[in-house]
Amino acid sequence: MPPVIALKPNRNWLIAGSGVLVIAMVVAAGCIGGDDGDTPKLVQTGSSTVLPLAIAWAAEYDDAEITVSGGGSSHGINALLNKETDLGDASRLMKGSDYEKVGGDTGLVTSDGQATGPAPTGVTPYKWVVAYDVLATIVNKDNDWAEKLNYTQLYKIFTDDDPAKYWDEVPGLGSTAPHEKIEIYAPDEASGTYDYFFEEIIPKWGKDDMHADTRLNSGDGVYHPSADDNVILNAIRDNKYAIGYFGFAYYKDNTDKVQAVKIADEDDNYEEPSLSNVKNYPMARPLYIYTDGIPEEGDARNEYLRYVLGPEGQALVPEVGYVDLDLVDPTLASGQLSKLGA
Amino acid sequence: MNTGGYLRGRRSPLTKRVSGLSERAVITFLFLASSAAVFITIAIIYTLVEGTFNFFSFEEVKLFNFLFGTGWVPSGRDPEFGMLPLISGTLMVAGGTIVIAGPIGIGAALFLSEYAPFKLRTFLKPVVELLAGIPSIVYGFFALFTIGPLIRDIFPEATYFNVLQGVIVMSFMVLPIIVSISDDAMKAVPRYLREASLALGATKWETSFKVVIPAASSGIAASILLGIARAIGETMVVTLAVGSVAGFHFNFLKEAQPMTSYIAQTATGDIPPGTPAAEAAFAVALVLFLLTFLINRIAGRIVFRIKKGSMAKREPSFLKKKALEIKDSILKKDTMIEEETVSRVIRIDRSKRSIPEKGQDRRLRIRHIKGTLGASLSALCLVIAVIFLIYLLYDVFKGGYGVISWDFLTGEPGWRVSELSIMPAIMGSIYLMLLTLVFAVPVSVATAIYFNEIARDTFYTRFIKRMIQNLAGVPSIVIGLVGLTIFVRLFDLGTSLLAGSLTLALMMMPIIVVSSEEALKAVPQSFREAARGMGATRWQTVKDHVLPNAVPGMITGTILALSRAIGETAPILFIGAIFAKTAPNGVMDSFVALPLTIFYWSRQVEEYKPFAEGTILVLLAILLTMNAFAIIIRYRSQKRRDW
Repeated sequence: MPPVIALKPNRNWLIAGSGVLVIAMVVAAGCIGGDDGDTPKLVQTGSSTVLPLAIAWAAEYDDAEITVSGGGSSHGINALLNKETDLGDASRLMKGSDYEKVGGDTGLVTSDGQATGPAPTGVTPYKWVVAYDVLATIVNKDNDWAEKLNYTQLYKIFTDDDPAKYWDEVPGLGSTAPHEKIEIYAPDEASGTYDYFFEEIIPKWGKDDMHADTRLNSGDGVYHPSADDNVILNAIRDNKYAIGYFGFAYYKDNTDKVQAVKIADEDDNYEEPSLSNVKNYPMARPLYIYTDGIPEEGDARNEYLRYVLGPEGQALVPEVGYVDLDLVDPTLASGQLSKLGA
Repeated sequence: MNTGGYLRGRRSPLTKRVSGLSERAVITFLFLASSAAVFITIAIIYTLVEGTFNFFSFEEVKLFNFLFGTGWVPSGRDPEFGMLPLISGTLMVAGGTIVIAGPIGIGAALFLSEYAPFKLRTFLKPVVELLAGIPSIVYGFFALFTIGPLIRDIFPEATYFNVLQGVIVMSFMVLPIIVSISDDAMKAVPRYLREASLALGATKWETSFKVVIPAASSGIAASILLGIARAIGETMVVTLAVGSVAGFHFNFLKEAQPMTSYIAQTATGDIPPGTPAAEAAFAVALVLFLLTFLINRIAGRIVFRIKKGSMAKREPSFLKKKALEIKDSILKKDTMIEEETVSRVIRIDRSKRSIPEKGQDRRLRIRHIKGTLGASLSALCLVIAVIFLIYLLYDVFKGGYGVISWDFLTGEPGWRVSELSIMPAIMGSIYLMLLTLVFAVPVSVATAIYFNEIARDTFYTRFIKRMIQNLAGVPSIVIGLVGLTIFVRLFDLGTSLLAGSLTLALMMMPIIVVSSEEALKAVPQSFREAARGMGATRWQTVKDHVLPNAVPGMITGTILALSRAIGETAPILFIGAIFAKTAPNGVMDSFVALPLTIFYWSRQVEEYKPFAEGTILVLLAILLTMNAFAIIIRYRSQKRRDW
């Protein structure tokens, strides 16, 4: 080692190197990212059921940059009330309890999910029906005894009120069904789909005097909950005696793996789950986007909602796997569009 | 400093005063920066305690049930908040991980330390460390889609999500921790112990197994503890592969929900905010935080002792003495180990006193066969790790290579599977990283300088140093909760790029402090002494003589830390979005990032899988480029170094 110690190593290359790196990144960012200048920005969050639709709309819509995230209907409404989002997605109506969480008066929310006055945060949510969701009850491909079920039978299978242990104990199936154990693979309690399914089959669901609880809460181990539709799909595909349910949008992509059951809400008006049959099929629910009041003309949200409710936006809905408004009620879209000034 | 040209060469009273003032200002600044750790700690404690308090203020929540209940049904009609199912999930994951990673890690460390020739060692160590550089989301993906089907082939009763697949990949994830710390501990065993053992006739394997391992046992124990802490705090592997349905059982083939998975579920699942189910995340996080804190503390103590050699004991107070007695009965005393080792060597010697002629004694042959076997076994441990790494990389490459195209990387994303693009995610990740750099580096480097160059060893500095050590062990999902509470809500930054990068900065700060301190320590003390001896002030010494020589090391450490930041999913799980059409163009914009995109796509229908793999490839490519940069900088600076 030379006796002369260089106290200042040459560090020009270092500064230059890291500088170039950073600049390169920023430039690359600028080039690829493209600066669109004045395009308005919107934030959309909420229901995971609405999420695929929201992504499709955000991708196709050019007049605003929309970032979309999930987290659930309650999160969507809560975020709107807290001014954390421009558009709150929900697969259920707003409830008094949503107002309560931000310190508001529960009486300000109608049973129809509309607000009659502002929450303490100053936000007055306004409800837009944007599409319909169809819920499909699913069984194994080899199941030939339960290709159609009514609400009484679903009640017997899915609730804790004297539930059927074997398939042949389900009323009305009788001797055609095998003496084999029923296994349920379906969404867990955190899911909005779970809530909707039981709201349909259990009378007075959610009230103090509701008729039964779900089989998941009976603790007999027959109901295997899962947060992932993949799991439900695979389990039912692999088990001949399994039954479950999930959104039609997911079934649509997997018709080769499982079969959907025809459903009757009375005794024998069985209806096939499909997009075109939405008017007759009993398990269909509206999907909502909530905004703060009715956005004025010229507002980015107004433009966006016009697109969503208009022919272009609605044309995407069936492709994603949901039901467009015209199939349910041809006046639904036009009525809402007129409120937006279109 | 704008003092004018001629003043720089001469010392006038004026410059002296100016530099004296600025010296004080700089040191004050460094001191303030070093206190950032205190604020971060306060932020964590505030978040967890406030959330936990909210949770327990719901009347359906009871402390006793929370701690000892066996039912975790947070969103049911009759919510139950018994934590034992979450604990059992965490125990299974951590326990299983250690059962696999412990032996493999110790074996691999033994091979590296005792058998591998220098060249092989310098090649293998970075390979093992590469395992630590792969983001956890990639491990989770690999567990679910590659290990999962294998397990279901072998055990048909295994469910889609199960503990075993998580445990298997997690083992390789914690392996680098176990290997590097155990290896350090074994390397630290004095050479004379090995020589004594060999001289007395023990074989190399007997020496390694009966002398080196026992002598390094406390270090090995520490490495195992750190591995456990990592496994307990890991979020993405368990969220993706182990499951999100809590059940109180110990079946490795079934789905379980560890604590971190529940916290993540409150970010991604349909759990309504403002309900006990959502607030429960904070209480669970508090338990998780305390648990990892405790384990890290114990492990940290042991590692500290190894680094210092046998601890010189101060005279402890009466109470402390009692506590130490209890602790010593649990942890083996380091000072005893050497005596024990020597007596062990003598025992080996006694049992094999007469060394017989070659070929005559079967026992000797058996001893040699055992030795060869042992050495091959420990080599095998390393081979397994390397094979796993290669298989993981190959698998992802095979699946993701096909979807990489110009449009996929730079196009405007559509929503159909045929139109997917990760341009906004790439840009989101890069911006996130640059902002994290801006927030984390100045404070971290200042902290390191303050502690290493300026501060004296006082109670306060020891306190903060310990705090920074503790911060490094906080599970990433807990940092995510802190970011949500402090930046998104309290500072009202919303789910913005700014909030995301501040959260990541919290996570990176302790890492950059530690690596910067190491870079500073590498500068010889004589430089400082020479500078001070010539009359330079403390800050002048640092600025002109220490810092320039430490910068390459700091840059290397920072790049490595940032490459970790870009792969992190859990801290930004609460903040990042799922879809954006364009790159963010302001710090208050929402953003998508690469790890979040991988996470979302891996939960979609099968058609999305190759795109998730393609995204993983891009992420790994970015990480590798950054690591290569770090290595080049380190190499070049070492070459230029003339001391």
